[in-house]
Amino acid sequence: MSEERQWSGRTHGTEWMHKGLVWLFRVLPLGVLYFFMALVVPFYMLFNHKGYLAIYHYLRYRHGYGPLRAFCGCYANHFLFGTAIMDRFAAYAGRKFKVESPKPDLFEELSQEEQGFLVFASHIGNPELCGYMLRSKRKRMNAITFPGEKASIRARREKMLEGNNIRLIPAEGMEWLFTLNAALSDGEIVSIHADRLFGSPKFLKATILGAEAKIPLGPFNIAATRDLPVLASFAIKTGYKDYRFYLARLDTPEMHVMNKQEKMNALAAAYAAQMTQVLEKWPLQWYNFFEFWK
Amino acid sequence: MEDLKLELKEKIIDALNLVDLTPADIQDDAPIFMEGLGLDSIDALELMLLMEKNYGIRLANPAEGKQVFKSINTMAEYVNAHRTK
Repeated sequence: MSEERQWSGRTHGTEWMHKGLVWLFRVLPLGVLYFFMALVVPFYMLFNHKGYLAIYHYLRYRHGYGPLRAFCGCYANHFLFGTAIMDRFAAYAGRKFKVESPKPDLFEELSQEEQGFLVFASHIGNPELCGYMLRSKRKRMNAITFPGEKASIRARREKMLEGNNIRLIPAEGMEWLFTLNAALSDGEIVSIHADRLFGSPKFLKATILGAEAKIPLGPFNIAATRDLPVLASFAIKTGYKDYRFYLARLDTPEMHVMNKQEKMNALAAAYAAQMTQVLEKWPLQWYNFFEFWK
Repeated sequence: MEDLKLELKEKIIDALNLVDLTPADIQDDAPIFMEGLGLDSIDALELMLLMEKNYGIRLANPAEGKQVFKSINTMAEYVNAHRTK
């Protein structure tokens, strides 16, 4: 795995900075904070040149934007990414968002079955807000999180999620694998990012927005080996305090008779198709700041 | 016990699709992960499922699990002592 494709999973900032941010979100209107961020974004783009270029190339070559439109799109993308992070802190601070949920509720339907299932998240929109929207009384959801997250941030997330029957499992060392295995064997729900390599360099190839990209083999391997139902989830910001939540079932009856490799490939293709569909509609909410198609 | 070790090696090769290996290539006391067979986290999940499906063993305790997956020897000893199938 090249350095560019690896991500440390580290949350930036110190604990007091995070506490300060949460306090700010309690006392200041979100619009004021967005305004200040709009001023900071050009500097961020200047100093995070690699990330900026990756988004520029994404808009130029995957969406066919012209140079000026792609440059403006980079600004909008970074701004929206900032709002996604701010909304996350606003949620920690107790702010509410209006969420348009999908019908039928595939999550609830699958929660009624004995067997567990997987929810694939991605770095599109605001995946963390998906967690606040998904709630199953019948089954616990286990969210695999990137290692290296600050303890204070994790504690806040756990506090936010404690009423949602969600457990966070940081992917550190080998311990998390046993917890994950037990959860799957107990028929629980597992949420995992399926668009970025971490923990293992193994990958599958899938066509996203017309070009081949590497996506992590792990989530697809779990689904195929255990023959589990899979949902793709996306939380897209549609307004100041508005989100639209998308859910799509990836496995089909035909896949359940396929061999493991065929099923992994079919699930990867179905996931890539969902990502493509969402990105075509919401191109600026793509938050993988590296050369994804390299 | 030797039969069980051979069986485990065959099942590991099959489950992980290690087509370049034969049971004779896997040392009984060699580490299964990293420098040994070079398996990673995805393979670990497959091995846990292998233990559950074939021997009725559920590994939920990380400390115990890490010991079990040290080598073919430790796996065989654990299966021999705890199998329900």
